[in-house]
Amino acid sequence: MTGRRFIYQSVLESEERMYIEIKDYLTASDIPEPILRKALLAISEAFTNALIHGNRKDPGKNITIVIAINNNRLTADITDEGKGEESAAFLRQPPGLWQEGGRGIDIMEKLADKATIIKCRETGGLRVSLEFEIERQKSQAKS
Amino acid sequence: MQMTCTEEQNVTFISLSGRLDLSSGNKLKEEIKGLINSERSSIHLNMKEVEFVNSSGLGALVSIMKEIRVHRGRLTLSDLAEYVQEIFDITQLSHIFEIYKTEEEARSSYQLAEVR
Repeated sequence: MTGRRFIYQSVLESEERMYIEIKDYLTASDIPEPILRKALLAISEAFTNALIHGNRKDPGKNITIVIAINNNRLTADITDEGKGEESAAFLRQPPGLWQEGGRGIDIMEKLADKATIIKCRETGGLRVSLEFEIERQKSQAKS
Repeated sequence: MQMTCTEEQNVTFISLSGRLDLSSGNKLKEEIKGLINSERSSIHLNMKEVEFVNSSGLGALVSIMKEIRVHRGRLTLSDLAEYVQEIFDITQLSHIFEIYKTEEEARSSYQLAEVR
């Protein structure tokens, strides 16, 4: 198993650095492109939620992304240092078509094979855990 | 995100490249809302060179669309990569956006609308 931890300050400028670093890491880890795209998008959604709703763009708070990869699974944990409660995610209303926000969690849930949101004891914030099956999707692509 | 604009009659054709996310979505909203007025309210976005769109980018497009509708204009999109189209499909936003396969098809739709 390989893995890496990325830490970002909660400022808008971190968005671009996160995208480039995570994409480079997944590319260097030979993640098949369809899974790389799904993972990058789902991680980006969790990152944006952490930045805006979790840490409320407080530069004194960080967003931590931990990625682990083995032969058949990619996992990403995205953790903020805010005061969110996981119940807010469960109780959310589906966004209307003309709504500008509120699609991030739905996108994560649709793209990842498994997506969970829990309260993180260490930071007090929320942790989004995303899982992507690599081998299964590889074999699906072949069939 | 980079954008290049050309104007044809009453439609502004904009080619986008790069990522459409939270930061670039905010900039795109500001730029396009600055272009819209009562005489020039239709915008076409060619997304051929857009490599990434997330929900914040989609939100920016919804916001632009709402502003354009206030001015009775049209927002059309074209040349979406397959993985970008997929995001429109899974969020069901493909139901509210006018999406054309090519810019040429979008241009024809404006010409047809003018004839009518």
